[in-house]
Amino acid sequence: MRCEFVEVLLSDYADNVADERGRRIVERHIQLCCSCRTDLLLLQRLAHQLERVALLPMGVSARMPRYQYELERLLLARERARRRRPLMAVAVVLVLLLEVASVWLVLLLAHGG
Amino acid sequence: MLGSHCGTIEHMSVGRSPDVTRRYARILGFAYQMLGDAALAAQATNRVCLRAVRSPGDDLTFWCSAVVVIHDYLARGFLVRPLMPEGQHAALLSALQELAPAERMIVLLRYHEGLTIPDLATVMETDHVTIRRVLAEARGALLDRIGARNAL
Repeated sequence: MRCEFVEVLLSDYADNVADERGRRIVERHIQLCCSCRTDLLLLQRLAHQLERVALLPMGVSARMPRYQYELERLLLARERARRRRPLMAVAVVLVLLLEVASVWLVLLLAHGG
Repeated sequence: MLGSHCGTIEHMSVGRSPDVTRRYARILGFAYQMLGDAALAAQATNRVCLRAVRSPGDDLTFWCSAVVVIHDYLARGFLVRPLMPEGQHAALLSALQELAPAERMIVLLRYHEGLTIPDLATVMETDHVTIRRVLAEARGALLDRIGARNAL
């Protein structure tokens, strides 16, 4: 089998996710193909390096507490807004009641007059 | 941290949920490699964490949320090339940055975060075959860019 046909299988094999048939194809192929045998080794090494690589440069890691502080500030603001919500609802209801009462009073006075 | 600034803030434990704390550095690292800028990455990470606090879930839910947020930034054109990496894995990080965002995302989630292929298919909303193909192509490209093949 040509190398380009086993590319995905080789990647699966390196990740230990190839099925039985895929494993057999790869094992047969790498016995005959030195280049794919080397690639298999490199793929395994690459996976190992990717697992260990530090994604954050030192400068950014050092700023992480500041970023977390910002998150806590956002959470706090949201929590305060959530707590304020029932009070706001009560205030809106009271304003509406006052409006209705004042209209009713005006109408009552107009009819009375 | 914030409690000392604001007096009695008993509900701060919400923001300090162990899940969010544990995942913060991982999401930040992922976002930094995806967006290329520390401030943008922190903003995206905080958005992911806010979503996680609002609707807690397992690791997979968390990564789904991270991918949605990062995609949102990418769709809006936020993509900065990070500073030239230094240190032991500089060549690898440079090669990673040259991958297409979707490829980089899949490679990082698979190998750095350890998501399985079915999990990746869920997170990326695609099928296993596509994920396996992208992984194979991206790893091939990484090996070429690092020059590993020539080195041997």
